Amino acid sequence: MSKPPQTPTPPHQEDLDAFLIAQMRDDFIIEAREILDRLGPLLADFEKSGDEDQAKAIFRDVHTLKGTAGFVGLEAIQSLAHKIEDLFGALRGGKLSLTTELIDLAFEGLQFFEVVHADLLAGGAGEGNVSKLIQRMDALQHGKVSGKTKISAEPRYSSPMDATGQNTLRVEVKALDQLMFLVGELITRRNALQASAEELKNERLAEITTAIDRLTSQLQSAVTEIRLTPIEMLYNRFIPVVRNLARERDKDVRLLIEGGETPFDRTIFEQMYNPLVHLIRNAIDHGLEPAAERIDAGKPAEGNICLSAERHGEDVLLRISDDGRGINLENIRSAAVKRGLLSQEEAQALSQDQAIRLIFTPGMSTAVEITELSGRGVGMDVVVQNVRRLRGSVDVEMQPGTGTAFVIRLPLSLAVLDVLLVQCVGHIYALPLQVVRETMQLAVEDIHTLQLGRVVFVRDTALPLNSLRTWLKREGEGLDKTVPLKPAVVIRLLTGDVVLLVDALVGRQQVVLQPLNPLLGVVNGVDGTALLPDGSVALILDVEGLAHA
Amino acid sequence: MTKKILAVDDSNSVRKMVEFALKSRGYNVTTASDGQDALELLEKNQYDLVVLDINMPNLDGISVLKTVREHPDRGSLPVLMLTTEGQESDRDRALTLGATDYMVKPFKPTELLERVEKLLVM
Repeated sequence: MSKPPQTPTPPHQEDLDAFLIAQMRDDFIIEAREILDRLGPLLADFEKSGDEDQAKAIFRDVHTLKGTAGFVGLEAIQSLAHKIEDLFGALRGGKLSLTTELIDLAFEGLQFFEVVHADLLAGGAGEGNVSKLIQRMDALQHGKVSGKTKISAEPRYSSPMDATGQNTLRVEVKALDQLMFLVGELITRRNALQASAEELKNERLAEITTAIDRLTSQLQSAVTEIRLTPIEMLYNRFIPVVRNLARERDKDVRLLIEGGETPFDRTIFEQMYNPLVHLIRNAIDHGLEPAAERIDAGKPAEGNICLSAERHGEDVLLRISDDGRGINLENIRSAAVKRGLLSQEEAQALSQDQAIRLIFTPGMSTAVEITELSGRGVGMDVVVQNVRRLRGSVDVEMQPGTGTAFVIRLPLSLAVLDVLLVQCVGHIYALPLQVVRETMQLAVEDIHTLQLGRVVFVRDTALPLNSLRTWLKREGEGLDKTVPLKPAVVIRLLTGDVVLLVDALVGRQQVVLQPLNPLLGVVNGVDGTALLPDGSVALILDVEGLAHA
Repeated sequence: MTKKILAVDDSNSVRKMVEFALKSRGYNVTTASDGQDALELLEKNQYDLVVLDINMPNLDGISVLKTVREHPDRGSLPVLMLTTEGQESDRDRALTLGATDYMVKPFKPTELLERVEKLLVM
């Protein structure tokens, strides 16, 4: 029989092997992600149900992980997956019974896979030491483990994910980004068209412009929706995290997931993972009290951590809450004084809300004095920086004794944003609506001078008064004092709200974020630029950067 | 004539690797990701060889093999089973049920190609 014809792809055997295995490694990273997403909820469900089909599904997923890891030479994953497969094989064969210890170990394994996976994603070798964990699994399998307290991690989710993906299509994130970029270009042109149509006052042109406007908006939301995945795909990754941390700290912790169906931009899952791990670690380490202390305080022994999400218009709100002891405000105040950030008097004068926001102040979170509050010394920096990079904001709500909640607000779409245009010294600047609470007109008598500086009372709360001119270092060119009312914007900062004086309020506008030329490097206080309908360019301001410059 | 091969594996990356390797040698390759799909394809098409994973959702490789061998015309269709370490009993069952040959994962793509060539000559 004749030999099959050769194709022009790598002619040499060794080359073909190397080529295909390298490609397989990239595919493996995607495939492993899908498997890990399934395994967390599957393990948690199986622990409760003991269902044979679920045991089979776990066995199969771990088996696939083992098989593929072997091909691409990831020995740590391969041997650990092999061991877990072994355990579930023994379980299915009746040689091992379903115990909390078994599920605990499986979750530790899952956590290891997550760590290795993150390493692979970051371009690492994807190795690690698993021999200890495997030894403990061996010990369990051969009956050398005593009983242990029960820790439950029960996710509540609304609908099981369709892992097989009927009627779905895999799309490269890059292709989605390109589509989003094109929509962005279209929006910019639409804005220009609208401006021209208004000038020309042509009825026919106005009609067409309205139609194009509507279609553009529909196209934009359709493209945005494609990128969305239920957030439980992200939240489920914390099932093993919570469980393992709870065990390490010897605490009973229940994980609740609410609003798991809320749509979330799949492309920012990875960027949100570490910030959320940090908040969860803080909650377990410092928020939730030991069982005895909880009982004394009249709470159930088991602590609760709740991850919830909801959509607010074009934003998504993520809420990470615990029912622990809250944050000790006295510790924060004294840490701020020790760091020289505030005087004793200033620290005591802060309201509860202002004091709690000190944890976001740069320098505070790395303070040795409050590592107790911030976990492993990494501090809130990770959280704040990551969220800011995604143009979101972080808020904290706290009731001493009853718990802490962090609320992260993120825009649903990262490329297109709604802004408030303001004027300052003859230029137009864009403030992302995410940071704008409200606008107001201030009369001279609204401005009060207190010890801490000038303030404005907004609904009985004294908010510090700033001016955009000062922030932009243009204060030399003073305001026209003859104007009776001064426009101002209430801005949401991490350290609390502030009132910001501007020269004029121009209006709301939807714009497309154009990142700054990378050759300029990072410009503090500027997020990017936006092309305005009249063809001029506005700087999109990063208020956190400006406020702390 | 170009040989037609059906490659069945539930793992995306393994399936893609097998597909690419076979295509690089000019074979006409069709893929399926579970046993059910594989059987449907086998109903409708003629293949010269099947590469068949054992552990799969919706009907495993052993069941597919059994159905293939029960078919009057498919008694000699070469079926190469893909197994892994620790699946020795499944592998033995597959051989008893008429699997032509087996390979143990992980293997090099070129090892698979050598094996496939041999089976097609037989």
